[in-house]
Amino acid sequence: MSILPNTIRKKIIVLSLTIWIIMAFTWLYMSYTNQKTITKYNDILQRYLLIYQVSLLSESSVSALSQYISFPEKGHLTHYKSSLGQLEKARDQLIMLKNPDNFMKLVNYNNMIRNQVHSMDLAVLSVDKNRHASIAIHINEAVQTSNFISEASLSLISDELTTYDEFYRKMIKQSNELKKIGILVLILSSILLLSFSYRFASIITLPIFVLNRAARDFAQGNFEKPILINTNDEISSLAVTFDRMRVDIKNLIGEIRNKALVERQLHEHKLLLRESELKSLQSQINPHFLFNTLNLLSKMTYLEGAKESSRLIVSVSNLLRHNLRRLDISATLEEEVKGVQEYFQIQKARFLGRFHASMEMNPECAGYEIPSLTLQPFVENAFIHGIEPSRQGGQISVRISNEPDHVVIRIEDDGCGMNRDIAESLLDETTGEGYTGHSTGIGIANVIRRLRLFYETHDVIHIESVVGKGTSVTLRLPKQRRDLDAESHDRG
Amino acid sequence: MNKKNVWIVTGICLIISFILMEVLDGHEKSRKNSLIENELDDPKLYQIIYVTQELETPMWNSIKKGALDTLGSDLSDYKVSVDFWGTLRPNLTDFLKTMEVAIASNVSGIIVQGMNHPDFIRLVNKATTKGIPVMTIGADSPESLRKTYVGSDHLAEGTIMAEEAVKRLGTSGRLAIVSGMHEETYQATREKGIEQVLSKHPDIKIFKMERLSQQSYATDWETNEILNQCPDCYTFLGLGSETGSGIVETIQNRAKLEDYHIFTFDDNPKTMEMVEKGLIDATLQHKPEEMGKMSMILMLKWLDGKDMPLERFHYTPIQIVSR
Repeated sequence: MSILPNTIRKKIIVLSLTIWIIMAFTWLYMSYTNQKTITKYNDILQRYLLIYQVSLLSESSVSALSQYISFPEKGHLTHYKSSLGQLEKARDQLIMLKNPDNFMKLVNYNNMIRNQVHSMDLAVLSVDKNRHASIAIHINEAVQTSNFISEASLSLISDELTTYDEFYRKMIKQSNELKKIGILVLILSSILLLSFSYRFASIITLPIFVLNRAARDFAQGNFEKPILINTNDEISSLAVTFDRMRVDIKNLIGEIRNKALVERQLHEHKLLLRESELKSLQSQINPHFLFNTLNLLSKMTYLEGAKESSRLIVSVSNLLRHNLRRLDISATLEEEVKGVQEYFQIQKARFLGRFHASMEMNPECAGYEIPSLTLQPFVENAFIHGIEPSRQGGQISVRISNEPDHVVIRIEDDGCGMNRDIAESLLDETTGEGYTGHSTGIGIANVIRRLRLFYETHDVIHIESVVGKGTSVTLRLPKQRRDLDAESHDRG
Repeated sequence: MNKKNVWIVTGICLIISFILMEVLDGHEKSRKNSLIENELDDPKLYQIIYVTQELETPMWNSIKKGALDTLGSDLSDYKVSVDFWGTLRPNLTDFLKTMEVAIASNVSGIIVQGMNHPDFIRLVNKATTKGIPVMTIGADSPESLRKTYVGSDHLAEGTIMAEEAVKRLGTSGRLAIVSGMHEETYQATREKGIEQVLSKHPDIKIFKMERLSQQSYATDWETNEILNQCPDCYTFLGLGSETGSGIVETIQNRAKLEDYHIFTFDDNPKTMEMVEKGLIDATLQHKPEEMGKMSMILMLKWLDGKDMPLERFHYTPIQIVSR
């Protein structure tokens, strides 16, 4: 393709020029051959015309002379002279009739005309000198020669036909052939032209199709196929630009995908972070020291005979053991309930008679998993705010029921309740992390936050409270949990 | 390639094509002009015309051969054109017309079969006055202004044949002369020769049909009449050139050919055949090729201006042929 010019405009010009050249040559060839044929025919006709003309002029000059002889006026003389002149002129052209066979005949023809002219001149002279006898002789001679000339004309024409018979037939055949050749040339040059134009036009427009297709591919989101156009014109530079664009877009899309991936990972990391937060929250406390000490205390009191104290310390120890469990492992409801019951035991001992607790659990929920140490803070909270401030004491009941999609845990107390604002601030997790007398040290806010994280729903807890009457905390925990469940198990 | 260049190139192309057209045109014209110089009036060109009333006959073809062969051989520096005009069968009007055409065509020289007709003599003289040399061939026209005669000596023909006939006839008898359909001029000359010979033999009488002028007799009829009117005629002389077969056939129809002696003067193939067969006793063989050759040489010599004036007669040899 390197021989083609480098712009579409030049290509089109080249195409037009080539078409013009092909057409011009075809036309020139046809014209030339036609012209040759016409010239040949013209030549032939001219020959015949000349012979005929000579014959005609010979006759007319004799008759003009005859007229002059009859009426010797100037007008007739001029007429005769002009005929004579024409005859002489025609005679001068006789040589062009020469062909291989008729030369002597032409010589004779020429001489006959000379003869006639000579006789006619003598006749005119005789008229001038009024010699009537010689007039007759000479005019007769002229007439006779003119007759011979007419016959010789016929003979010449007939000879022409004989000599050129073959030639004429060949010419006729040739012109027929020429017709065929003409048609053939027309067909050939048409085919040549059309195929050439088609090919050339394709060279020009094919790249446009390629570009079009590439644009369509882009529109459909396919940026993979490279655009290959090497026709060395504006379209190909356009194609290069397009291709660069394609590569850029492809790269940008890749980047976007990567970013999305990174963001997802980030999100996951955030979640993980939250889990770590969770864990860190859950592992701020190091109760192992206390547990060991209590163990010691329980043994010492038992040895000192304070069985009641010993039993209490054991309860505390159990509670502590329960609380020592790793926070990142979820506990079953059964275990949580056990923890709560130990707590009740302790508090009962503290508030002899004043504190009543009840625990009911649907046994089907026993194996249900919840985050560790979620029940106890609520119970404690109920205790701190419901039972402790009141002189009469109070009652805390925990009811766990089984719904089709949820486990419902209801913690009720008949304490002093809390007003709306406090309830809402709890739900908002906005209460500080400060120690508020909970044994676990985990604030309600923490528990609620953990629950929400654990179940990944916001709506796990509901608090109803009437100041002075009591508080009811309802936990609706969905049974279906998301992936975090599996992960927690793995870490356990 | 800017616009200006395109225009310049186009302009140049157009100019070149115009110039080409003009040049080609001019070339054509000049080619034609150069030929018009009077090739037709070339005085160096000799045109010699042979005129006869028996074109395409064997004798004339031999004359033609003799003439043309001469041309090919030793006369190469002449530009000569030779034509053979005339009629196929004897036709006086056409024959004379051919002469007129030759004269009007101003040919260089005319070699013609002579005759004693006054119109013919007039034409010969007309040609001569115009400066066209005329020679007679085969048959003479002694009263005309012809330059010379080339051909057989008819007088000698008559004498030779008559002597031959006398040999067969003996010293006395009748000799019938058959003239034939066409009155050829040389027949009279032959007759003169015969008479010359027979004057020495007074006992031999000639018999021939009385002929009214302008009348032509068929050979058969003539022979028959002679047989009727002259029963002692056993010797026939066919004067005319085609009388031989007619005489033979007629006699064959009526009588025994062996009793008759027939003599002819011509040598056409039929006659020769009959001589071979013995139907004709003797005939004369002419030398037409020699006539052609001699006539051509003489004419060219005349045209060249050599050897003038010519002898009145140039006889070609004749020979008796018998079985």
